[in-house]
Amino acid sequence: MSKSRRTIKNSAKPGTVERSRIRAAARQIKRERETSSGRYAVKS
Amino acid sequence: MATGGYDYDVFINCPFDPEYRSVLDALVFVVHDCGFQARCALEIDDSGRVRIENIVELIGECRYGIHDVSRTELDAENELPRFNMPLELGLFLGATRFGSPKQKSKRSLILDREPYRYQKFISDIAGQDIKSHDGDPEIAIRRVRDWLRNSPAISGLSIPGPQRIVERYRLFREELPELCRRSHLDADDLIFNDFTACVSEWLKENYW
Repeated sequence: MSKSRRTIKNSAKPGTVERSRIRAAARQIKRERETSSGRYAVKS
Repeated sequence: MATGGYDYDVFINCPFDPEYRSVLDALVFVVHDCGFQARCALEIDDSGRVRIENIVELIGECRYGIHDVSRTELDAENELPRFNMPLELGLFLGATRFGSPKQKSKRSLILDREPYRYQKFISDIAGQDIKSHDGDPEIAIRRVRDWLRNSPAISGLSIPGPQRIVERYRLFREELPELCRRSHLDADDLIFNDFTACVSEWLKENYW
């Protein structure tokens, strides 16, 4: 296993938490985009 | 840093100054939207190692390389050009020429601002796949998409057309500030790893 692979493995835990938060936000924004009533304020 | 594996990792060799950031962001997006993983020297923060060692290791991990040689202006302070991009392009081409069979399978896309401009300052790269983007992120997206479309990894598969990816990128840019706000990130000061995480996670929720 190369050094870079070890680094990835060691940093996976906090990265996973951060990524899950980003993904949840992306999911919520998409849902709001697709429902006219709850759409957040995107200027067209 | 996340990796998609050798056959899906794309080394992005480009300027890191703020003026180029819009093109870099677009490159990262199109690479991910085509199913690949963007890799860049900016992802590494290891002050204990010599920088060139990090870059050599990164190049070794990537089958594909996008090299932007558009930044040839003299530095205003010392009146010297930036040579990092041509140097890293040379390393990448050297791996292709002298490396193992795996390294010899590498593929490069060279980007510049104008067609044929490279002939005036780096004429030895003639014969490589060289495209111009005119400093326009959306043109850069089209160039990279068409180049990746012809890669072996895409053989038998389909990826969105260039206009579709451009439209998706516009939507991503529109939603990025809100995405950052909800993710506790600073949209105006995203480092490379944060930006790629935003791209990657947004794409997972926005399939084409």
